[in-house]
Amino acid sequence: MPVPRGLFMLRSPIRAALLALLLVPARGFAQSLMVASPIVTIDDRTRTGLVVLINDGIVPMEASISTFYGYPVTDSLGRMYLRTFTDLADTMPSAAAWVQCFPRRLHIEPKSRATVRLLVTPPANLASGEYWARLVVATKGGQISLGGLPDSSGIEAKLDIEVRSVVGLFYRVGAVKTGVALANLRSTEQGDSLVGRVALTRQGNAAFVGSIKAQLRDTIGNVRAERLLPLGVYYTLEPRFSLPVAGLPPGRYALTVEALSNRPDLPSNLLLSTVPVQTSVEVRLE
Amino acid sequence: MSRSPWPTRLALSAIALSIVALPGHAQNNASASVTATVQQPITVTKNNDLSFGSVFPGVNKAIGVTAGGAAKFTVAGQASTPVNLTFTLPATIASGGNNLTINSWTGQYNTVDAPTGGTTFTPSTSATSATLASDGALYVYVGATAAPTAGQAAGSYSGSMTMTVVYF
Amino acid sequence: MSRRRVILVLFGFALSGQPVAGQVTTLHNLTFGTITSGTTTHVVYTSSSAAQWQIHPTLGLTGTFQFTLPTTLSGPGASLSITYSSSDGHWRANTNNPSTGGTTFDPHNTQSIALVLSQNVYVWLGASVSPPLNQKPGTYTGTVVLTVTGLL
Repeated sequence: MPVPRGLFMLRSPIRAALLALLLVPARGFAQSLMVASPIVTIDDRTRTGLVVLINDGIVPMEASISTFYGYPVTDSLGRMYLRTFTDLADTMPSAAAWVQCFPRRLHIEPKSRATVRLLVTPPANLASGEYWARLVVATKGGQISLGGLPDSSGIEAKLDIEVRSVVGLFYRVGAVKTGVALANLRSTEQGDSLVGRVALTRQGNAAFVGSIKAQLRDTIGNVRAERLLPLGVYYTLEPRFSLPVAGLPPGRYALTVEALSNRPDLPSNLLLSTVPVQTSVEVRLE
Repeated sequence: MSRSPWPTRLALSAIALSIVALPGHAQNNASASVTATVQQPITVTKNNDLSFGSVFPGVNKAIGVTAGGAAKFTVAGQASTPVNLTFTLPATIASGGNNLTINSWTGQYNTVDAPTGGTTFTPSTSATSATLASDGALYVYVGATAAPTAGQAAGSYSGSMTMTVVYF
Repeated sequence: MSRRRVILVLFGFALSGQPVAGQVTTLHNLTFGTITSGTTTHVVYTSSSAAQWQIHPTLGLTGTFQFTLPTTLSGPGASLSITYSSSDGHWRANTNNPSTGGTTFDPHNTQSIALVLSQNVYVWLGASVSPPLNQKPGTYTGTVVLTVTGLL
């Protein structure tokens, strides 16, 4: 920004303050990437898919697409994280190396969308089943200044910020079937919450992508608390969930967890359906 | 007495026209279905950059998560969906052969749009588990400390950081 | 009833403008495909996803056609609004190609046409949907009706 000539007529401290006002950079403005869906499904009939990226911000955006292999698991506290591998065994159902993205790098103008086409080129004679990858969409929206006042030391600092979104990719070959088994439902009362855990084990040859619905019912069957948790079970998962129980009278309740093959964030045509399953335990609130 | 032919011709014409005019087999309207399959996107917005303002040699400048200069991101998606956050952060940023130390990274995520009252975490390559709010939003704030040496050389220092959001 | 009276009734019926004058066939439905909530999707009339009809007159036809347009689509969540701009309708005589000729019109308005036997009229319709970010995912549907009214 050019410095007004009249500024140099002012006394030094005032000039410095005004310089600060003039030269401190404007705060960064919003840079926003939408990935149209949290999952991408591709089948072996077409071996093609697409992912739509939307720049909902007001600055242009550079995006790049890549893949790696990983799947969700839970830690000892029931928190989900992505398990990744530095080396892949041949037995792992990884599709990461088979996915080509067109284009792999792209420029998206503000308030515009772009479509990245995906092509899967798998090895021959692939067994029926589902193969997984994680799609990484990385975006940059230009440089950002951290400092800005060119003081006597002349130090300026800036950081480029890259934002990455990681979504699931499922490549389905032949007949695929999914399901889930529930076990070991338990809970503890923690403050105003009933914290539960349940073990889920995938059935069939495809990941169970759906939700678990936890409900707390009183002795006459009324639902007093409910929570829906979207998830994907690739092998096993033992997620943590919590139900608000503040204000509920002490006594006996039934805690039920039902696994459903639908997710509130995904249209049903992307998911493999399966018969709902549920498990229950009695709990006592103090 | 013979009858005038015109009533017969007129009758036949009228009958013919009537046959044509009656709906009969002719379709005068047709329907088309309209279909749209809605899917919900996931969105990551970088709202604010990390800004230290003025930096002086030998004087550490810390920007906390509640400071106006903190970086801010908004994650949006389906309500109550679990996500993981990971960060790749520079230890230094460079200007030519000179390095400026950036350390003491701090973070907070919240289900409401406020840098206080949420959950503090240390941004790192290890996953931080979070859950989107009931309206599908998650607000993430990141701060750090710029630590110039007393003899820090003048210049424009630059580096990069990455925030990764994993959806399950 | 006398024969003359019958004749007059039939003739009057034939001239009464009962909606009958052509065969209307749906060639294509309006398909938005998979759309993303929080964004606007517009299908233009030249798109292969646009709705399309063919009007084929039984005889030469002077008449009108009009749409019955849905304002919402129904599905697993709240009703999804659908809108039509003044340039989302298009018709063309004889040629099944909207890109190189024809007449663009506001689909809310009735259109007048005049055909001779052996001519066809092709009609296309586009539209826009803008599901809010909290729109429940799933498939939403509606129906558009094209009605032709002919006068001999």
